[in-house]
Amino acid sequence: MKKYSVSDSKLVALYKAGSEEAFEQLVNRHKAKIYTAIYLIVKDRYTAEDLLQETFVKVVNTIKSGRYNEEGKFLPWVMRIGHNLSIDYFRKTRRYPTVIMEDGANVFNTLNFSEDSAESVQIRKDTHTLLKELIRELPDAQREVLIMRHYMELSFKEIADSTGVSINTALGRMRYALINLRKMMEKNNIAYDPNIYPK
Amino acid sequence: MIQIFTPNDLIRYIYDEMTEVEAHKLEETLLFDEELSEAYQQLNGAFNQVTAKKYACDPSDRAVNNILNYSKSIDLHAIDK
Repeated sequence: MKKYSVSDSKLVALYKAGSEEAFEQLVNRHKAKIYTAIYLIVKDRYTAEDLLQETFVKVVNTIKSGRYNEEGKFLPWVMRIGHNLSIDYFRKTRRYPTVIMEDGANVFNTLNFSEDSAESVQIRKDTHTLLKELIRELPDAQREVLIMRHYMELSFKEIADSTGVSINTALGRMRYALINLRKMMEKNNIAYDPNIYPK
Repeated sequence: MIQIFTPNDLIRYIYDEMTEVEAHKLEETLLFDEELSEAYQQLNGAFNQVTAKKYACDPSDRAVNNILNYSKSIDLHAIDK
């Protein structure tokens, strides 16, 4: 995970002490990550922006009222708020197609993307879109780990904690997700060129 | 002592979640373990594809400014617990 010179927890502490600059740093540091994760669920940039703002309203209210739990990490906490709001959005608009989890722990088990917008139809041929479609075809548990690791940038330990499985199970799901994606990419003639994508 | 690496260890290596010592041992193992090396190449290829084509986007400045302005408008500890 990316390392910063000033940690999130230090910035939160500064924000709690009244530094709006510290909050601005937190927002700028994580806005793309949180926004992209929300966008991948709701697939509409205006809705995603609204939900991003709602997410940070909850963040501000929680921290400024002294209710922020220091034990948790900042980004996974904000990500959870964003996800819960995204799921609530589907519930309210009746666009969420399946019954949502019983215990509320494993949101991605029933995660589905919304219908295609006009915008996404226009860029359907884009490889980003194609990859997204391939990711959508992965089994739920594998898609969950892939989104949490690649888009939310959570560690496998954090993923295991969030989804209630062992680290080894999370690693195994990621491995099968990559194996399946590779097969699908080969089937769709998306070639891997090691000269373009070196490790 | 010879360390046995599993396919899941390859995932930890690819995602940079190994200690330097572990990673070094794995790299040595990959030199002579053809089966593990082949599995690594396949997983790493897919990893690079996902990473290279990862969709990422920024919210508008308007949305970010709304967030920052909201924070400035709220006094510390002014919200009911």
